[in-house]
Amino acid sequence: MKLKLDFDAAKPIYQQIIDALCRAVARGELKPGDKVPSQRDMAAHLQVNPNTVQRAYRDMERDGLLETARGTGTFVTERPELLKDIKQDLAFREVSGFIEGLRALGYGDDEMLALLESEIRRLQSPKPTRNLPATEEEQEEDEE
Amino acid sequence: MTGPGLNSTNPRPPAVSIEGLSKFYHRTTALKELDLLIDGGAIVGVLGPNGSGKSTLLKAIAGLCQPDAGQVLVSGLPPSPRTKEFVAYVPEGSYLYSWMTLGQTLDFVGGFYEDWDDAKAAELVRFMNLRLDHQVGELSKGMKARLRLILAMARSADLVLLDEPLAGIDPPSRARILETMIKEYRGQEQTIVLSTHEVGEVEQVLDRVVFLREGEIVIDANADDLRQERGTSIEGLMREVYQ
Amino acid sequence: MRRNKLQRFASLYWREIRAARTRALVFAGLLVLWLLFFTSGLISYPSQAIIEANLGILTALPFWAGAVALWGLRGEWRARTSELLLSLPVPSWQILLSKLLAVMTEVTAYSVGGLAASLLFLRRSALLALAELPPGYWPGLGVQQALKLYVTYWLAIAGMVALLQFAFVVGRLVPRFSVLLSAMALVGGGWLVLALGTFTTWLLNLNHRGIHAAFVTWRPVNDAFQYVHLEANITPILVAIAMAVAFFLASAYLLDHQVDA
Repeated sequence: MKLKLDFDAAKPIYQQIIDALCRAVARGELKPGDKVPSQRDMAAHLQVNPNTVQRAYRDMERDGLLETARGTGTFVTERPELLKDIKQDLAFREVSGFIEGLRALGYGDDEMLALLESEIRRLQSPKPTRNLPATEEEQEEDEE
Repeated sequence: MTGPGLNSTNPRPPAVSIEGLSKFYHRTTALKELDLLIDGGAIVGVLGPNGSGKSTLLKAIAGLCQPDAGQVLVSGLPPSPRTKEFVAYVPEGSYLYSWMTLGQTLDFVGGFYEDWDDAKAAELVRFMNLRLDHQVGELSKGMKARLRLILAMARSADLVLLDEPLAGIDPPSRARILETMIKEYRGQEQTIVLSTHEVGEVEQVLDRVVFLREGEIVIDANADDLRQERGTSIEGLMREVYQ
Repeated sequence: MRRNKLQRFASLYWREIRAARTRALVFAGLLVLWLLFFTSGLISYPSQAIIEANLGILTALPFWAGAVALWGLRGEWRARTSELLLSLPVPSWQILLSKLLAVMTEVTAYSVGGLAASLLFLRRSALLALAELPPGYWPGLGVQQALKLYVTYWLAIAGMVALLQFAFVVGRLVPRFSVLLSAMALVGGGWLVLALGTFTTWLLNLNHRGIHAAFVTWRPVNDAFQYVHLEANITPILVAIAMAVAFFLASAYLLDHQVDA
């Protein structure tokens, strides 16, 4: 599994690793029960400090996203709710980012909602100008 | 791990323990009452512009530089031939005999260390695209830098001190050096302290960063925590701190 | 690669020796030229010339040894290879001793080499020259005395090298004033050696004790040059050698605890 990561050096790296893995699960590239690379392999692949990877894995294990079986390796948890939880978590974070960003621009709450509605309508036409995750989320929402 | 001072009641002594370290040169203070504690198993970056005392700090830990005041302890011991057994120090620039070939240099240096691994050295030489029969004096700057790293990483040293390992090196060599460092890093059993004045590509490898300015520590924190707190990369932070 | 302590020291020593190979080649070359010159029969020479040539080498060697010792140490610091040596897990005295022994190996090689070359290739003339020594001197007593003198000479050069190493290390205490400090250490050390040596000689002469050596030198006697038999008290030299050990230990201490690489 080739995890690609374009580092934003301004954000904590361990968090970016967690996000990348979560997105991989959300996109279906990683399925529950799949084996993830060992910490050492991941660190070598991403060219980061193994301790950073360790922190990421530890947090993910604590949050129930990964589980380690002694001797066999680390796997994505086979929790039925996992995919939903991850997507929810990612979605929440996108929304928080959105809200904070607009607040910083001076938008009030009502203005934010109005902007959101108009953009949703605009993007319902089949010519997405956004990046991939948003499109897929919309597709899944449409399917549901 | 060799672990001097290790016994069942004492926890492992810190890899590096520095108290009140001062070093003066003619008219300048290289280090000013520095306190630093590094527990084993981390990659620490000592950052700062040229002249901030980074090299002096590393030399003091390696035992090549005698403190004018204060104390330096490496795994609980003052620097001595005993500590040099498990410390790998790589200075900046040229420090090898130019008339020796690469192979002779590896042979010469390797013979002094219990933890030298011939097979590993050979593998690293291949990985770094170097030739054993090349004379050190004829090597380019980048090749010399790669050789220097092999001298450190072909061992299983508990503490690795790298003084500006990437400074002035061509990009392909830098990539190789960084890759090797990450590949060979032995996790909890090894501590790497590297100094640099341009953090750039090293940033993602550092656990902890220590900012030096004129011989004093101005910031000492976990790299990811700093990124979270300040919302900026370490490189950006450096620009702020060292305007 | 596991090398025990002795092998590590040996590897230091061999490194020093390998660094001297150019000089050794030059000396060998000069020696060959000298031999060719003398065996070619182009000129006729008095057989004493062979002894003078060997004595010439012996006279030049202390200066040569001093220069090599100082230049070697200075070179390490200039090329920053001192950082390599001092980062190795070996005590400083091993570094200094390996250098000292390497210099003395050169001294031995050149002095013995010259002598061996003379005896091997200029045998007839060399033996003739030796035969002109005072009757009864050669070979019996002569060899014993010559050996005693050579050993003293060798130890004296070693002692001088130790003093020079000490002077260099003292200079590194404050690199800005290294030349001044080294000169002071050299003069001070030299004075100390002379003073102690003279004092000891006086003390021993008082009690008619001491170690004596006999040797032969070419001197003018009654308007003609002759080989003359002399005797001297070499105790002061031995005292100096003992002091050299003290200087050596002091150098090692300073290098370990006070000097930066």
